[in-house]
Amino acid sequence: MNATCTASTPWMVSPDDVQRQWTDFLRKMSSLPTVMNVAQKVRVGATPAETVHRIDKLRLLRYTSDVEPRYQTPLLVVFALVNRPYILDLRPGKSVVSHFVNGGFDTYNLDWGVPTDGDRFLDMEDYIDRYMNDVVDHVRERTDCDRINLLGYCMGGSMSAMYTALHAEKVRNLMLMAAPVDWSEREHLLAKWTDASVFDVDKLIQVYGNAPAELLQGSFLLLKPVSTLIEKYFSFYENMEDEKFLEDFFAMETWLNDNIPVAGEMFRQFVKYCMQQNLLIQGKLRIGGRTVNLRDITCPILNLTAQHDHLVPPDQSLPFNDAVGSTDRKSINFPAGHIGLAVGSKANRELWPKVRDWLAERSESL
Amino acid sequence: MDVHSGFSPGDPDSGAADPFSRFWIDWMSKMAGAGFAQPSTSGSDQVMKQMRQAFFDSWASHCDEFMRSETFLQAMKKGMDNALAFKQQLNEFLTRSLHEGQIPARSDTDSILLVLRSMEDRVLSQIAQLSQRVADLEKRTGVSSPTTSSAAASSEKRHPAKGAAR
Repeated sequence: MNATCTASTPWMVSPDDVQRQWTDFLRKMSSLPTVMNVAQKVRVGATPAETVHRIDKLRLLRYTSDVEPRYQTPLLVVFALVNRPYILDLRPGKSVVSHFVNGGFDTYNLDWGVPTDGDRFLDMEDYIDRYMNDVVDHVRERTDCDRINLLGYCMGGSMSAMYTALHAEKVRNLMLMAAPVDWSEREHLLAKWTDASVFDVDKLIQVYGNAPAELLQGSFLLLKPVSTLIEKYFSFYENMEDEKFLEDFFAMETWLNDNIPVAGEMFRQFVKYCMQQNLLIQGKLRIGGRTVNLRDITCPILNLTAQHDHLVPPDQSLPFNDAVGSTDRKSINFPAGHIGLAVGSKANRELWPKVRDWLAERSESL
Repeated sequence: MDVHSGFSPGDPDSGAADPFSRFWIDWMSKMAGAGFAQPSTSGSDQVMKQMRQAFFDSWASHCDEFMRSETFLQAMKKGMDNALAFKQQLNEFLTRSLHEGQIPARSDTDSILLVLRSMEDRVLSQIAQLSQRVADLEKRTGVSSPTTSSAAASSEKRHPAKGAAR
């Protein structure tokens, strides 16, 4: 069938075009059983892992591998509280974790768990000075290593920065990945929505207890409504005969819809003190009676930002490098989106091998 | 009679229909550009896709513009205020109903949780002080126990003034 349009008027649809579209539609519909099959069998998580430590709802995962360990300094990955951490190990070929595991790093991932109503009073001090500190101590004891490597993603990156400022002696290298630290630029959509004049976070937490997962997911989807609610499904329709696309699509959808609430007090403090009052970068944030001073961070820093990030634009992350006391600091602004930085094919092909090498140069070998 | 309607189609700051007009004009110009700029040999599917993409880009751009507008922000604030007020009334009603039936409500478990956290803070603060005193005593007597001194240092560091912080 001739698939070309000989006339320069795309508004005119020829009978051939109509017939081809109809045939295409029927072929796609005939692939529906395959689509259902892939959707049912979707698997997330590429690297085998075991739970090695638990505190309350939190669990610490250690990735296992046949690869010979090459570095004594372990790596702890810290994800945000708003979604599940398996995005960093979504599927083979789309796994940040696998780069480090296969590179010979003893790699751990911190799964914060799902907070319930009883966790509504957990605050920044609990999460950063208690939970994170306990986990870091556990990893240090387990690996017999004084200092560990930290990789924080998104809000987990902000928390890792706060932790490193408070416990600088326990962190050897700090890597941040799309981690906001400076909210002074108020023109971003999320900054406008969370502005104190339109968003009363105190009232929200007082009424709901925890920050509802549905509210968080709805807000993130609404940041790019055309892309997330419409374009995505056109792309799905066009590629529904491609099994590899379907596997990636459903794995991603599983993660996107696997939202969890955020402990109320923690959410309130993060929104109020960081997003609204911007205290972190000013050195005025206090956790557990102590001031978080980013100048206290003196370890090597690698700050990864995503050029097309609509959630954490680079200008919220880049000021971090100037705020720390480190002399060994580097930033990479990669052409990807917020999630693409972790699961994008290009990022996994070009960015993460470089990051692994950066870390390897600064870690203690076995 | 000189009548001013206050609405002029060409004025970007005029009337409520204007954002839609701007969206429509922007979309049509982008679609036409995408459709007619193609060489005659390109596939019709490709042309249609580019026109569709032009539509989505235009739509996304106008959505973004709208969601930043004061109109949207105030509507969002009002919607959230109303939703929170409703939820609060519901909570209060449920609390009263449960209390009438001698059943504990969420506010009661909240109170217990707060008491527990306050107790935990006090206990940890006391332990930190005791550890410090033991470490000081050991220092004076010359008996050194590494576990006590490190525990004191660690406890002091983690809970320096937890009671005061809350």
